[in-house]
Amino acid sequence: METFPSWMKDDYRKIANKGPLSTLIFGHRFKSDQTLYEYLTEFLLVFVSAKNEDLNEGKMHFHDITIEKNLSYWVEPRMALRRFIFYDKAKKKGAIPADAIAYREMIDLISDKMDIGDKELAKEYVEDIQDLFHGYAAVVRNRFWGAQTLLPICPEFVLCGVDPTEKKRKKDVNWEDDPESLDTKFDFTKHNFLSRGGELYYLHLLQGLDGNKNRQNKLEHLLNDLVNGQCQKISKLASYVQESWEEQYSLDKTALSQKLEVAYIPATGYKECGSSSVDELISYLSCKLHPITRVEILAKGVMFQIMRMMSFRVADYLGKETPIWIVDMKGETTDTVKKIAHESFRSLESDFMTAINKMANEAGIADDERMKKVREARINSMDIFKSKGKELQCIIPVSGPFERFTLSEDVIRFLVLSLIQPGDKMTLKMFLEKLYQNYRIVIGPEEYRKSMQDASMDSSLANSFSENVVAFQQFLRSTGFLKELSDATSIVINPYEPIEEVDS
Amino acid sequence: MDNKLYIDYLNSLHNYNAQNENAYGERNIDNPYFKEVMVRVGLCDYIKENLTVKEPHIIILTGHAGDGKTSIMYQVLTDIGAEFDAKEKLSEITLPNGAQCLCIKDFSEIPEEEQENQIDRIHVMKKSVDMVKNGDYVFVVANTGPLINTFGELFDTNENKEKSRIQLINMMDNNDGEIKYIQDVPLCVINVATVDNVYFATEFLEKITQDKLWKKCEECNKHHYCHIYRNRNLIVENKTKVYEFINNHFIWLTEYGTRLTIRSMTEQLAFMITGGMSCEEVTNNEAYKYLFSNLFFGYIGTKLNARALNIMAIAAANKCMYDHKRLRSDEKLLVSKEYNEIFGNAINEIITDAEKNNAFIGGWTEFLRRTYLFTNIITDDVVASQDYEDVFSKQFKRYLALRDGTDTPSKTDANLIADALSMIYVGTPSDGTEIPLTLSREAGITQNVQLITGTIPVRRLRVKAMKTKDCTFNKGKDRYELRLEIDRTSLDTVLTLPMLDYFEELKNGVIATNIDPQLSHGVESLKTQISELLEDDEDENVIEIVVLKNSGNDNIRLELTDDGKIREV
Repeated sequence: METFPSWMKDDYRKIANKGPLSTLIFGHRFKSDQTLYEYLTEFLLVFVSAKNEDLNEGKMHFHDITIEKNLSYWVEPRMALRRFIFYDKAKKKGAIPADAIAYREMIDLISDKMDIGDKELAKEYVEDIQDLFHGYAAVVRNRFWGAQTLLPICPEFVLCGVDPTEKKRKKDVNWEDDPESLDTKFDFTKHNFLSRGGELYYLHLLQGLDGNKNRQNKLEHLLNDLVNGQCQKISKLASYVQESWEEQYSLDKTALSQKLEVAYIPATGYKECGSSSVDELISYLSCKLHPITRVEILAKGVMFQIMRMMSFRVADYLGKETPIWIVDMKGETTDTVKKIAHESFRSLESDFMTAINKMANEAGIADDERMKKVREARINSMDIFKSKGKELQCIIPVSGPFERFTLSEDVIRFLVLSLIQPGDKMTLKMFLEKLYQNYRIVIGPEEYRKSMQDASMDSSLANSFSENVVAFQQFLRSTGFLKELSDATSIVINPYEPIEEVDS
Repeated sequence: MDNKLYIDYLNSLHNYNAQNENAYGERNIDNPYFKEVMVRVGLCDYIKENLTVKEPHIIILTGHAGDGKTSIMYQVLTDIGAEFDAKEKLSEITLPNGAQCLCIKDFSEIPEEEQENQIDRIHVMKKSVDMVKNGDYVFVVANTGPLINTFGELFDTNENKEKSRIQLINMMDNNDGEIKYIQDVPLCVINVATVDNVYFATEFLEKITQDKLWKKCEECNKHHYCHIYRNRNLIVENKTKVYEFINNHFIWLTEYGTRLTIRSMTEQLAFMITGGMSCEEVTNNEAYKYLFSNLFFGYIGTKLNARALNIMAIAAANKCMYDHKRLRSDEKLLVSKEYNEIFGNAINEIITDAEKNNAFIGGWTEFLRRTYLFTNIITDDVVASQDYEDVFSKQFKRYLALRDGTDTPSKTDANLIADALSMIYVGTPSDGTEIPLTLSREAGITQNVQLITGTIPVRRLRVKAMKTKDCTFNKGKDRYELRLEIDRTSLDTVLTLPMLDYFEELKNGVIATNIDPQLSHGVESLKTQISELLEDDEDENVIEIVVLKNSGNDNIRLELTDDGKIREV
């Protein structure tokens, strides 16, 4: 298989005969432990990080792929900031005694910096700052304090993955004599939770940009606005906390930083929707939304686009036509659309399995390993597709039979804002067409007819699909995106204003 | 049964018996009673002016099915003195200024495929454009869909087709009634669907109950027990209250998202009088059963008549559940039963009669409330405003006054908004000084410490009433919409009645977890605009946070100084 970037194919060849199978199909790699927000965080992490060792180049830019070299990026783990925010509120697993000491030092350090006579009050203020930050936690779960993540609302909150390596740190950390060791002895390369799914999305966009400088500048500007433009004060306060620590112990930023590398995606498959992904992202980011809402919806939108990538790639690998997603908007218990939607979902599922098995044959996996490897590949591809779809509420029901596609409020919001330019409008018919073109989503009878390549369609079926459209219309109306002009004509509007024009 | 023809006409206006042959504009117009009950629409004068004074153009009248488009065309043409033939699809008339005017009665009825006689959509559209170029006029009644599609076909490239369609859609959406050019075609689009039509209900009721149409009933031998005749008389007797309630009801529906078409209102009002019965079917029933106040909501006596819910407007009225709401007047009405003080003689008699057999039947309370809504004769202002609050909402009466321009917004209105915004941002009512705007999440982890991104100066909040476009089309029927103004900058979001009601609830500490998405959209866009307007442009190094505590909120301002310290300011 060819890879993108093309010079990564040697890496691919190394595993071509053993797998993991999901990596062979979808690129390096999807893994089921990654949570929804972490796809966005990881994608932004590559984007905001420096692209050279001195940490002074390439921040807030995409990699230049005209130069043939590994796509490396240097992240700043900001362990001191994380300790400040999460240590006290998390369970102490994975922590070593030195962490507790450092945490207390940290609190004292910041409260000493408070130019306030009353020490008690100063401590209280420090606690308030901690609470302020912790309010933006995105993934806490039951993780060790260092692996908890924040909503990526400013560059300081875009944090890389960390593995506690408790034993190693107990041995190697020398807090008294070498405070730097406290923050550098973690393992940053395990990709446990930031398992590279966001990197794949990054590569997908890079591929979709296809060297078009104009669009790249525009997208970079908008992404910059997303992480840098809105929450500057939080950003400032966060970097103050981190830097106070670095100063206190004379730590060097470059010594704390870690080098990571983006791997590869398949050369074909994702490419077919790459350009759409870029355009949609540009349109979505151009809308003036509440800064927090903007990030929250984006996380879901990115996930939805990743699902599309997977679906496109499966078809590409099998040499089939891209599968349609028949969306059931009615959610009724007995209905034709429900059944058809379920069938379409099932055929997509079986395509995933066919692809995995085909790859097992191609790679020449030995019979005794085959079962295990196929299972593993299913968990790291199709199961992600399904469970994230359910988390987005666009695959229903959460448990039980008749699994099928639907669209939830947040996903619809992303779709409207990404398919219609801010302030613009189009008729409902045009919008349905657009959904079909970009996502192969089928809601109404016309798109269904198109997808079947069959002009004849019995009238009761057409009726069912028309009702489906009515339900969709109802949904759009209640979310404020639909306006009825009169009669049967409704227009879908993107009510948000565009953010200031991009100077590229 | 001397007035049978008229009663049959009323019954033909609704579809209770699935036989509403006059429900369609073009059929109705041919009926002799149509002229008698027709309500003059202000829009007609506007169109007449367009056709006589303004430059040659295509005037397009569009709107929902049943919005009265055909009847408007009829009125305009009659006014000009031209013959209106309801059966002809196309007709050419001569305007008073000598120019020709092509009238297209219903563009959507013209076949789509090309015809030999050239009466197909694209040919008619081309002809229209030619006529305008020759200095003549075109007057089209049309559904939107076919119009948009055919109009696009006039142009050559796909890009031009798409562009002109979008332009037409924009014109329909803006609906400002001005003549605009799309490519080089002068057009004026009037979308009836966006013009207020509530006034129609009472004017129509006035017309259908006018004396001369009911004279013959007096001679009928059933007249002393006929519910149709009785309903008409009771409506006339209780006119003020009946009109007031009906008007308020339709405004309430419109504000809460159910805008009824003229046809829907017509159906309900006609049914309210006849109950769907012809003269032959009238028997000597107990008077309370077919009382118009019951029929209006789809009841017969104390029982719901499920079939009446086929009439859309009745189903909508029924859903409002006014008669299930507790009133402060309940005590007089239900407990001490002061019927003779609350009602006029006729109603009092009907209720007292009915009470003998029905007082302990389920639905009696609701029956009394329905009757009360339409016919109470209480003049006490305090009770009247209490009724408004109980039946509709606390803000409703105030909203009506502002909407109709009988009063102007005051500081109290602004304070309501201030209190609600304060509840939204920090969870406590406003103290009258400043409201901190915070950067908060809508869901997820609780944030008891929040960053302040700006402040709303409460003293600079105003509510402004702005005239809507309705007055362009309906002279003398001015309406206003409310907007929030901060420091003399007016925000785009319109403050709707549901929003004011929601604010009232917020102010009183009712926290609704599941608010209507449409409402949340409005509130959200209001929030976005406020935060944009009031974005803090103060020193980047000063960070202001609010700490939400049980004992009250603390605002803390911290400054990151150049020498690496944090100072409280």
